[in-house]
Amino acid sequence: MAAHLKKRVYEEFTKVVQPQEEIATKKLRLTKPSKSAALHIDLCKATSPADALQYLLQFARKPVEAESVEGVVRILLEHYYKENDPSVRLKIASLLGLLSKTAGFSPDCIMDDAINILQNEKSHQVLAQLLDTLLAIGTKLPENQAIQMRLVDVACKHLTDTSHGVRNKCLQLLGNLGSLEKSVTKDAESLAARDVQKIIGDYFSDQDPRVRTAAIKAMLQLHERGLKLHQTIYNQACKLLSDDYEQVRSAAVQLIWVVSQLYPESIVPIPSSNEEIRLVDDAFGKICHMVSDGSWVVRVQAAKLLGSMEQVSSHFLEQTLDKKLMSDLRRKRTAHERAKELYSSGEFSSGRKWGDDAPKEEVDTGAVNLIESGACGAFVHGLEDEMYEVRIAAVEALCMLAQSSPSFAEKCLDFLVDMFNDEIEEVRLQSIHTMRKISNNITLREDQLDTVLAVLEDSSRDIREALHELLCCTNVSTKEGIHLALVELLKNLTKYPTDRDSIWKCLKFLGSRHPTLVLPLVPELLSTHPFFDTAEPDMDDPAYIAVLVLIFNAAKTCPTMPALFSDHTFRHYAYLRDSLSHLVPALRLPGRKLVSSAVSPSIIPQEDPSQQFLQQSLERVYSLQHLDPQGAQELLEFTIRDLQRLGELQSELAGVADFSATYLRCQLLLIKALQEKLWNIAAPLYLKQSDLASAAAKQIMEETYKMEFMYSGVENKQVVIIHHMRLQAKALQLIVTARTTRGLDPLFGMCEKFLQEVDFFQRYFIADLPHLQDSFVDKLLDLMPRLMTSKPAEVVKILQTMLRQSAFLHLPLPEQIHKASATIIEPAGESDNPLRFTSGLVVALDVDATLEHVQDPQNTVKVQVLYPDGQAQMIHPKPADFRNPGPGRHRLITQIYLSHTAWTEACQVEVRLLLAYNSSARIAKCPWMEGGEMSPQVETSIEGTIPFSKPVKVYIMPKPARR
Amino acid sequence: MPEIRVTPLGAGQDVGRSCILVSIAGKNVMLDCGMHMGFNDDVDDELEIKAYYAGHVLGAAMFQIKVGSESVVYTGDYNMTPDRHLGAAWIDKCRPNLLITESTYATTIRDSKRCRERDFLKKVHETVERGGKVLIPVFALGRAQELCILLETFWERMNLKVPIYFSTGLTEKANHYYKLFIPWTNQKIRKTFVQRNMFEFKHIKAFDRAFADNPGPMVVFATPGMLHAGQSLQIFRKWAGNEKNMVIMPGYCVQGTVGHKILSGQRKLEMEGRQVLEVKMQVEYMSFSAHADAKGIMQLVGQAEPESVLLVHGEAKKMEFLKQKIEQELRVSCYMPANGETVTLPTSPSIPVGISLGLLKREMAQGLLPEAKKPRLLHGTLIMKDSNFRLVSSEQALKELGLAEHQLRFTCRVHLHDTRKEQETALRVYSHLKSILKDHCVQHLPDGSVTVESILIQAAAPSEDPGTKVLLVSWTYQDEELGSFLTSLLKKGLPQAPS
Repeated sequence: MAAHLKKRVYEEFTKVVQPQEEIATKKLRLTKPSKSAALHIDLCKATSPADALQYLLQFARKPVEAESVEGVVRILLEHYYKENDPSVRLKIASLLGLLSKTAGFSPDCIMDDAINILQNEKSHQVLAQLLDTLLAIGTKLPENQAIQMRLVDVACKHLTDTSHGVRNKCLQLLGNLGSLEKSVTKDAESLAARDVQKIIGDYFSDQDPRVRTAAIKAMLQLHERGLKLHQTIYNQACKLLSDDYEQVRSAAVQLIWVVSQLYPESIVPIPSSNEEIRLVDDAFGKICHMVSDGSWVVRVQAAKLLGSMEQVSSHFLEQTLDKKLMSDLRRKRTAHERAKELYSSGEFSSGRKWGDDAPKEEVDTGAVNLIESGACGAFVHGLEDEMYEVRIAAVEALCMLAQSSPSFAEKCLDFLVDMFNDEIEEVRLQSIHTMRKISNNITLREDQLDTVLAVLEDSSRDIREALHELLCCTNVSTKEGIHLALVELLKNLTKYPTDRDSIWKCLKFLGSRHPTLVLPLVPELLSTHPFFDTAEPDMDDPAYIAVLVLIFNAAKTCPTMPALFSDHTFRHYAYLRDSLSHLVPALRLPGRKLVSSAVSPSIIPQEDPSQQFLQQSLERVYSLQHLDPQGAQELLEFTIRDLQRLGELQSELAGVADFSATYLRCQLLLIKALQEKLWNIAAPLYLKQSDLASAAAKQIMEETYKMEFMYSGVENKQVVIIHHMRLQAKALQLIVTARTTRGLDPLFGMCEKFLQEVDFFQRYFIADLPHLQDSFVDKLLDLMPRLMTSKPAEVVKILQTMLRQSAFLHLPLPEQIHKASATIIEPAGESDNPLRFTSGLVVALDVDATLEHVQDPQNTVKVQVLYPDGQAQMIHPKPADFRNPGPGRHRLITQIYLSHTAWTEACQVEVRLLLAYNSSARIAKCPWMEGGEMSPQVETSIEGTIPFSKPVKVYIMPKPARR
Repeated sequence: MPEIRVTPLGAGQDVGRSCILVSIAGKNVMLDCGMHMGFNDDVDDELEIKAYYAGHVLGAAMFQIKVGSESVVYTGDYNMTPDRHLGAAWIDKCRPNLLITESTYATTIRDSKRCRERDFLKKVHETVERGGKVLIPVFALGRAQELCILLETFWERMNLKVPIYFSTGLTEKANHYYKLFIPWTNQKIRKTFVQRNMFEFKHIKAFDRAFADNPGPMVVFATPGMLHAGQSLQIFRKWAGNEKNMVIMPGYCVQGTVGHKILSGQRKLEMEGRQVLEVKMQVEYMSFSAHADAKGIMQLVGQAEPESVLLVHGEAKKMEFLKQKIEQELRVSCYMPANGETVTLPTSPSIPVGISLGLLKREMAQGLLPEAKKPRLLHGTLIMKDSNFRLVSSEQALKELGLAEHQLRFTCRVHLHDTRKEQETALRVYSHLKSILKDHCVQHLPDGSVTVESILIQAAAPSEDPGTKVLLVSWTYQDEELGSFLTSLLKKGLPQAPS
């Protein structure tokens, strides 16, 4: 035996060494002794099972290459046969499973052995582990029908095992590998073709709850793999709903849901009556019942699933919100019903009378159903649940159902409004979001609006902002409602002045949605009087601006409104239109000459002209070649200025305008740099005079990184242009260096590197090269063979002329482009009281910032702290610190820790947000890059950061520690 | 016949009084009777008591009393809807023989708590915004804390600065206990406890008599809850004259108290000393009850799955309705005895029997698949010794009892018409049986006898008649089934041999 093994070990060695001779360069590292050999030696050394276990554990920590897996497996099996200790066998079995998952290894060769050892195994735990291994093997070979059949066969055989673990694994195996189609072949021996569903279904009544759960899970697995479950399962699953164990009930709820989605329309009888109902309705009723289950896990599961049962009939759906109240057997109206009646009768809620809610008519005792068989009151229960997880699930389900049924949306409104007062903020937030999502289907009654607005005083900014969002898209039915909303929003504004922007935005939408309701309110809001001139309000008062935003937005679609304005209102309009153009729309004001200025894109009534303007200015710039450098520079400067202004005025064009302006600035810098006197002198000066040119090169690089990573929606065609610009900047850098540095040695390296980069550019953007006619790179590539052989000095010379001659590339405008931006709300940077802490210890600083148009902020946004001594610290916020209140927007709420040695005086540190980028992230998508073909010298992954928020100053004072 | 007997002494069909006597498996348990201070109540060895969370007030519990396999659950007061400071009552599927539940609100189904809370907060908020004062008369325990938490969180959320006071004394002490027993409170308080104990009120301060005359808005919790005496009445008298102020009654008021009078709309109250107090302040009523309603009771019964239910703490008329509902919808028998009336429930306690693992495994291995919840036949010997029962294999039983094994054999003669010799007859019997009993081991022994498993068949020739042969069949009682089958088979005779 030993000799045999030894031979095996040698085989291993030779096996590994052989390929080494063929492809010598690549596989060099494989010359160390193979894994299997080392393992074998270790295992032979092991004196006790504990030792062997240790070796195996150590072995499991290291990865194994695909080519040596088989050898290792053989060695393991060898030891398995000899091993008496079940724990070691267990570990070996689990290792087999792990190894068979190795990528690039086909495990069919070890399956026979695995099945073999399975048959002789006595220990239940090891058996279970072996079945797990078989499962791993089976899932690795999804195509091989024969193997799957065999494995299913093995599983069926062990289903009668007495240990629940083994039965569990068998069911899991059946669920994952059981054949989906019933094979038509009537072979007597094809046992595997037996009805897997039937077999699994039999274990629904197993004595062990874990096995029952596994059986249901296996059934769900079958469903997930695309097998259509039989309808007969429905009845079995219904029985499991009253199981004693929560995991069984939880799984059963899922199974019922699955069947109800498969056979929504089939008819099932109602027990103890002759009636029949649709299956989906029946299932809905059953799941609703589980919302009041004893275990909260089941309740969460049930509440979640309810949301996706859209086929349920509206009759059943509306029952979920129904709860018949009674007091002393007399019918009572719910508070919701009372509120509605009061509203419709025109009275306002008095609520003062004792017995206002006195019960009315007698209830027929026979007709009252205390335990509803159906869906009755499921959501009422779910929303009142003790656990907030259940409440959130219920709110989510409510949202989904309401989105598909407008009448249900109308009905569930009262309940959602109630949830605004939940004790857990998360639930409140969720219900506000839900309400926003269904707001298209609903109109708020005044009393409901009242409750909604009461939440505006909440001290949580999240809640208030969510509520503002909600109000943006709410329908209000009366002018009183609008007035109420305005009053509450203004109250909110005085209480929390930081909400200013959010409130203005909210009023903008409120105004434009309800012009006719705002109209009668205008005189009151502007406090105009038919005879008397009233005092002119303060133009800088945020509350007054809020009112004006509401009115101007309403006036946009209501032409009669401006007639009610007084003189100063028009003046204020002009001012606001200019200063807050994103909030104030352009109005057609009768009989007034529009204030016009030299550059007046601001008063262009529609968007189209400004778009046109943008196009035209860019067109003009692209015809640049034909101008003399001086003229070109001027034109660029003007256009950049125009674009910036346009971006400020037209928020929807800001992204495009900024993006284009940045590009033009790059070009401007390039032109300026090339205009320098430096180039006119024939010989290199080796002087440090070319600060401007090298600074320009550096800045262009920075700007291109900004263009690439700070904007969302940048497409490939823009990336080409950006990279091209960067290449030009690099060329500029190279020639500047050549001019100013003495000695050739550094130049060699730089040239080499530059050429590699050109090569890289060519390979990466090969598809786009035809678009780059006449450009720098186009010309460069033409001369590439010559450049490769030239001396650095010559290369520099060629580059210089080419840079001057190359055409300015047209930057195609992307469809949707937005600039990432961030605003730090907290710390506000206004405090004069320094934050005192003992030096050497840390102080936590709360940071609260809003981020817009940042993709994947969890990975890219960092916080930077700059200390007065120049020391900079980068902080990576936790992923959980980012919240996503709306599309394209994020909110960062985190704590950063500051620390420093003692200072004699309080001083300010700067806090700002950075956008981290990694250029390899974009390039990695490129298909040719697989397999490390790229030569490693080219600097492909450039990591860096772009500051994208205004820095905030924080006053801190580290005190020396007291002794 | 084992049984459980229940006699309500105070709580039968009655509200406000308590005490129930339960006899279970020979033990008498007095429920809800209060403890005598200084006396030590002995708890029996066999009596098991398990407490379940009941909501209602801090520390409220439902009890399961178990003797052997018989059990009774007594709920006391409980609340199935969670509130601002406590969770909902919860019970597992303990399947007691009897569930004794309170039924105060047997005929009421309550509206969601949220509306009431919202109304309450809105009223308080509006009043203090107007500059009015709010008086909330409460009892020291339970609702006072719930309302305190409610207002405290609302103040926190809304950033309000108006002072809230609660009258010193008992409430303060109660709050102290609330601070200590955080694990018994609801999810929110338990979760936020790490940052802050919710009962360490930020906005609520202790009340001083002098504060009542302070100008400006305030909210005061004062005892007692029905405005019949004490601090709450004093404050009420001071504030009643101003219509900006408000009094909120959060609970039930007994007839004759000031609380009841103002709730029923009386605006002029006669105080002692012939004084007449005109009530201008607003009077509000908010019911914050912490009892389970009819739905809640049904839910609890559904969760515990008892064999029968017994209703206490309720009015007979209301109980009648609930009893009918429980019997109809849950199909559980239900009782509602009056005070002094005894209910006797027969029980069928299960008797535990120990079984040796070897025997169990052996018997399990015989059956193909262990089917859940299906009775199975098992062979073994039941040993009753020192009032415990054991099921062992018969061999072991013999060994333990020191007895020798006796074999019981049945023998039977079967007459056969056969003229041939005994050996040949035996051979014929052998081949016949071999052909029929395919699954059994049939052997022909050299001495001429035939065995089927352990059954012995011998052929003998009686001297008087050479034409008949007698077959002696002998079997042990374990093989009774096979033996009787064989005899009946042989009595039918052998097939004619192809001779």
